[in-house]
Amino acid sequence: MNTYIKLAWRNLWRNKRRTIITSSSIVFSVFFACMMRSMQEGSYDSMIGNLVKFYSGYLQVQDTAYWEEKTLENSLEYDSALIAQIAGIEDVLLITPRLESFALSAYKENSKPVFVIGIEPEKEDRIIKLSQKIVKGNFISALDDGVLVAEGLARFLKIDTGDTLVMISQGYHGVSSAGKFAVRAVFKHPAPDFNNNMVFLSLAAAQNFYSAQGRYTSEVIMVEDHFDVKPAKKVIAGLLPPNKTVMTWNEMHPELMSMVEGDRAGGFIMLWVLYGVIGFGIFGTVLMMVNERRREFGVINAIGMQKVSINLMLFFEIILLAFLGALGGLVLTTPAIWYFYLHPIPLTGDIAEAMAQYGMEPYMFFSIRPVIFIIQAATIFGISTGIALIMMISVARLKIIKALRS
Amino acid sequence: MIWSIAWRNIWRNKLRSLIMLSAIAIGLFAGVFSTGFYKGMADTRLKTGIKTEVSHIQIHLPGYTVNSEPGRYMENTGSIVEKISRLKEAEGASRRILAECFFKTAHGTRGIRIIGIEPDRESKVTDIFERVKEGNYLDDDSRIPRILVGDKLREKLKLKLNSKVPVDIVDINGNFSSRLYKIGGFYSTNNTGYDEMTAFVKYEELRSQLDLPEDVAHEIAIYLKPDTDVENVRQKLAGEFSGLEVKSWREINKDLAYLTESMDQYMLIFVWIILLALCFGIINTMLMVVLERTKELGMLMAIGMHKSRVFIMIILESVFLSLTGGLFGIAIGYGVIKIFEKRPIVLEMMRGFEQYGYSAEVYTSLPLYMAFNIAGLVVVLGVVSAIYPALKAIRLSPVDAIRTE
Amino acid sequence: MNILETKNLHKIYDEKTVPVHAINGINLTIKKGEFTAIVGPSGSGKTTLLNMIGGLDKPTEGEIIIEGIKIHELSPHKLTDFRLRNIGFVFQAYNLIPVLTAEENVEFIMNLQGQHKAIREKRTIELLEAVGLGDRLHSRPGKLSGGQQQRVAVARAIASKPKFVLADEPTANLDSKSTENLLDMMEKLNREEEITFIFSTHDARVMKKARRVITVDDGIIVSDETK
Ligand SMILES: Nc1ncnc2c1ncn2[C@@H]1O[C@H](COP(=O)(O)OP(=O)(O)OP(=O)(O)O)[C@@H](O)[C@H]1O
Ligand SMILES: [Mg+2]
Repeated sequence: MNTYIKLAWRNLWRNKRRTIITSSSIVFSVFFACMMRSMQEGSYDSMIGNLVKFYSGYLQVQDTAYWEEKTLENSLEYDSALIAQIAGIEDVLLITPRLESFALSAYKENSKPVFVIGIEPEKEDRIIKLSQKIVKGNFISALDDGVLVAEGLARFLKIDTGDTLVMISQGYHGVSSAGKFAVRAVFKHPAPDFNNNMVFLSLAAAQNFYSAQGRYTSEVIMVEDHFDVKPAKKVIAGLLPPNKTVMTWNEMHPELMSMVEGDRAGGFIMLWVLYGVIGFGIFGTVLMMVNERRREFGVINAIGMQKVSINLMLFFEIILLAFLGALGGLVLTTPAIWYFYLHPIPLTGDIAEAMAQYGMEPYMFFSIRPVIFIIQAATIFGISTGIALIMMISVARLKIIKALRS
Repeated sequence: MIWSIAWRNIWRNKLRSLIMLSAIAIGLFAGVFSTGFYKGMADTRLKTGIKTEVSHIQIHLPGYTVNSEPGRYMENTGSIVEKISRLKEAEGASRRILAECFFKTAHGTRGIRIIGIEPDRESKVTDIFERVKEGNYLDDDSRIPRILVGDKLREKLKLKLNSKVPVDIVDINGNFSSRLYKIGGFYSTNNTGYDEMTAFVKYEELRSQLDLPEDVAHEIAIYLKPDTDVENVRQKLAGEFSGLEVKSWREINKDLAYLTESMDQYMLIFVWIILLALCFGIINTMLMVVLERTKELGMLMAIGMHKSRVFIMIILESVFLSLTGGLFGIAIGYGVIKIFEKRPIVLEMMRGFEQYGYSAEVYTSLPLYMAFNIAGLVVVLGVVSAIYPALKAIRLSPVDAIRTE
Repeated sequence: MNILETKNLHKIYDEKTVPVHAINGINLTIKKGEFTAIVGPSGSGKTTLLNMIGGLDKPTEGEIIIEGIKIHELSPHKLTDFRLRNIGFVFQAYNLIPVLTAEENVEFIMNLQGQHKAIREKRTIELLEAVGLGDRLHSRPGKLSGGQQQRVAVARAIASKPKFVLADEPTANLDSKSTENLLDMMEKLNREEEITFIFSTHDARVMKKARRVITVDDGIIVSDETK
């Protein structure tokens, strides 16, 4: 075995130039593929992260009818026993009730429809870290009757902390509701959409405003990370009465998930093309290498080396070549991606505005998920194994006499 | 002569050449096809974006686009619109009143953007009326005002045709106003995000609900005749209505302008990356060619072939190789794009893009000049990849070359 | 004691148009310790004969028996193994693995045979010293002259302790000095270690060194002389 690896290694360096060019092509493709995939996954992570960590949470318990029809009629009654049970589940870090609805907000002659979320401030803060996003004013407490206004909205309404926001809406059972709320703070939401229309207030104040005493629309559940979502969902689903359901973050954002999938698929196609082209290049090179060495293979087969062993040697050669390239690519990519992961590239100008219109933060985010890198290495390995197999057939069909004459 | 030598040389090692040719053909097919695919997607987005959403030019009171307060309206808009409609470049002009309102229904509440339009004028500007799926385009004159909402909003709020919905607004005096509208129809564009957020009512209704004076508007949208220089018209209008802000769609909808224009560049980058990847393979092939023919090249130089001609011969061989594969790939790619120019490719995995206005039905499109550009790049690829091997070839000394086994 | 016997050996190459009768009934026996040259004009069938004896090619008709084994009946895998253990080869040129040093090339075949490292190393050095290359152990073939390369090939061929060594025109690429050196060395190995050599040649000087000269023409043995 060792002999074959040694032979393979030396054979690789027989034609240094060719080996370097071929492995550079692999380095190039791995580098490019990693960068692109990392950027893609990074931007998905940031989009999803903004939604999960600053809005929906990983899981929510809702009334079965609520998802289809988001009205207060489909809200839930407070059930402390159930909440305690869910909170007791091992994976669950936190569970907090919310009352979500819409309202028309107004300040002086300006008005704007807003997205209203009634929260238990203290718990919610541990999920969405709201208090850290405050740019002016103070965070609210559980019994506060004031509101937190998103920065973009505040700018539009020309409202500031201390001013009074008027909100009009439709409450539980269709009751008209109207209320005045002191603005306690202005916060900045990273997602532009939310930044332009979000209002937080205490759960009690929201229930009061919507005449929905003791009711809430959803229980937001936080787990450690997305790996825990599925198991937690299973356990929670088992606890729920038939009129309640548990939804995961990806079920709650089907459009985003479908866009992510579409975009990812587009990226994969590009990478397949790239790898296809690189694969052909490697194939061509290996083919030349094998053809050049037909006589040599003939001689070593004649003196008694089995074709299987020749193939094994050839296999090691090709795999080593691929390994060199993949390793080089990863060595080149990892520090770059690590750096950009810690320092996302800020975007300015047209592209930033365009991204804002799509509800994205104007940054080029990178992901350092190992799977991105592993997949590239595996792809290269797969391609070279395929090529090695084709070459093995050619060696298996080698005729000694012919080879010796060449 | 060296042209034909170069060409015949390619076919000396058929298998190797065929492998490289297929790599080049496949790479360029993929490059051309994806360019056509994404370009088609961007073109459709641009076309429908202008036709149904932004129009070519919009006029507002200065500052309105930054802060769209209802009080920032333009006066005497009736005559302005008339005047613009008579321009020879204009297909139509329409004035609008815009408001953010609160929508209360039995199945939920929602904040939406409501646009007050004059149906006749609007139909010369946008094609919303063509996109009404059910009901009609606000042209029913009944006592209760009509509202045209997006199909997506109907889905979300389970709206029914002819049902009444209250629309809440704060008027320009800061007073709360709620008015009942009857759902007159549903429309759907390619942009589900837009459909969910936008509803249309008649100009007069919204004007009176907002308590705006007569003959005012927040926005005047102008759709131009095909092949008109938008910027030219914009400047003309800006000169004429000096107190107003005249903007082209490029300035208004940055993402539309940016993403459609950058799509070409993105795809060109992709093509470059494919070419670069191919480059490695061609360098290797040509290097082998040179090493294999050391003796022969030495002989050619010995019998008096100049190094420059040897150099050109190697470069030509590489260009022929690249171009044969490249043209093949480009031609097939272009052919496939032609096929899907009229019948769309429908990709379910693209559905997610619809909320951003990109249709999942993609009509591929690629201008011929782009295909030629790409073919030009292939020639560059051939030349660039052969330089190093060709240099190696001319560095051979004839005597040494002949001696090689 | 016969180590090799061929019976009524025929070889017809199936060229598309005309079949080429390369060997037309050769009966031959080789005894242990022979030093035999196969000679004949170009195209007479020397290479074809040696290839068949060496198990590289199959006869169209007839039998090749090496120490009682009909080698033409062996499966390709078995045949390869048979060659490894029973036959040494020296080809006209490009005998050696270019990426291995002289020492490693010789050791390689014993490695294939699965011999222990210690034995391999000892024998390799002995053999290379025997062929006069004790000082070039670590040179790769590219750094050796044609004659030196052929001597390494001979060392490799006998390293596996074969029944006999086949050499098809081993001196064709060598100058007269190297030719003489190589043959003297082969003869010495034959004399001192009783290694059987069968080689083909065009060269009259090489022929003179042989103790038995078999002349082939048109695929048949036309004369067989033993000195
Ligand atoms: N693979 C083959 N296919 C067809 N004909 C062959 C093949 N190998 C050899 N021959 C033919 O068989 C005959 C004997 O060839 P062989 O190579 O054995 O001769 P040789 O005695 O070794 O000649 P030389 O002294 O030139 O090496 C020749 O006529 C040759 O053309
Ligand atoms: Mg011969």
